[in-house]
Amino acid sequence: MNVFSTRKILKTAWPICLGYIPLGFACGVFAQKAGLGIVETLSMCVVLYAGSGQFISIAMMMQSASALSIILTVFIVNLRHFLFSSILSEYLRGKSAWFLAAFAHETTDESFAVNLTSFERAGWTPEDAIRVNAAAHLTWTLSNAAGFFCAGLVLIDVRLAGYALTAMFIGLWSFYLSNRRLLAAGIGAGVLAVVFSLFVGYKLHIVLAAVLTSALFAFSGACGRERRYD
Amino acid sequence: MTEQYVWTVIIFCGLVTYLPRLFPLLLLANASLPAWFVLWLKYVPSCVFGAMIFSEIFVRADRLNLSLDNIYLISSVGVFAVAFRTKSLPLSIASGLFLFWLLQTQTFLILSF
Repeated sequence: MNVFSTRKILKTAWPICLGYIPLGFACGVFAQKAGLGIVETLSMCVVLYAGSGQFISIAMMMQSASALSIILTVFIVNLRHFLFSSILSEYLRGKSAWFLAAFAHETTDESFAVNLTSFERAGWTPEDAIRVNAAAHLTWTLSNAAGFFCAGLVLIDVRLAGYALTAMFIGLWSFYLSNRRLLAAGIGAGVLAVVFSLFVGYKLHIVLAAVLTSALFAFSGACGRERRYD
Repeated sequence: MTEQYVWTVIIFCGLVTYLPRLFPLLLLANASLPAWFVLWLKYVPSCVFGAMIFSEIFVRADRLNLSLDNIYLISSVGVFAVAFRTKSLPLSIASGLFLFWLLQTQTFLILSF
């Protein structure tokens, strides 16, 4: 990997890292306060690697929830990654099973969003994507370690850090919005997600809203074209 | 918290998170997909973004919050404007951080009076 491609990776990865450093730090502080050891905290980052999944499982362990209920909750909360992997699979054609197995482990909301918009532009390869993922994963793990050791020493603004990632999603979304149908679909899914979120928990509203709205738009789009052909 | 309890949680949470990440890649990456599926996938990304963003900024603490003191919502109006005009990721994030920080500080000042 030469200097040029390192720059390309960092240029794409920095928005993720900007959010992961303070949030990972907060997660490390939380783990330390919950009474986890450093090996357990870092194993969680390596094995589980999911921001909300880690926060939820630590919080539930503090409440002495049964292992089964924690595992089920984390499973449902992270089920949305199924959707992300399905979408990214389109850009990973012809890759070996080993590559796919490694790539799959790195799926997060943020790495998915950044890689997807990068893939849609020319010149972004699966190798670039997996390097961005590795940079994000490393940042997350090291930030957790920093948080674990500096717990109580540094105060960070978790809300602001979380909002940095929301702003990143808005920036990434805007790349789609020159197409009116895609914009309408996105807004429709947003409204539906807000409604769903009031009834269903565990982040399922995101998957439900996205799957339903995109199906509606894709299906009605196909009908619309047929009508025009008549 | 016993050690066995913590490790059971870590390992099995890791497993149930990994499998849904893995299966679609193994099944779809080397399959030929029907046209309707490809068409459908075209709409999914924008819908995922819309769903994630809207539920983050309109719903706070499990409640719909359309008021002016929802600083997530107010900041995002600004970020949308910047993102739309510039299509620049760095500028979107910078404006978001600035607006959110400003509103957070302002709210704090107002509350302290």
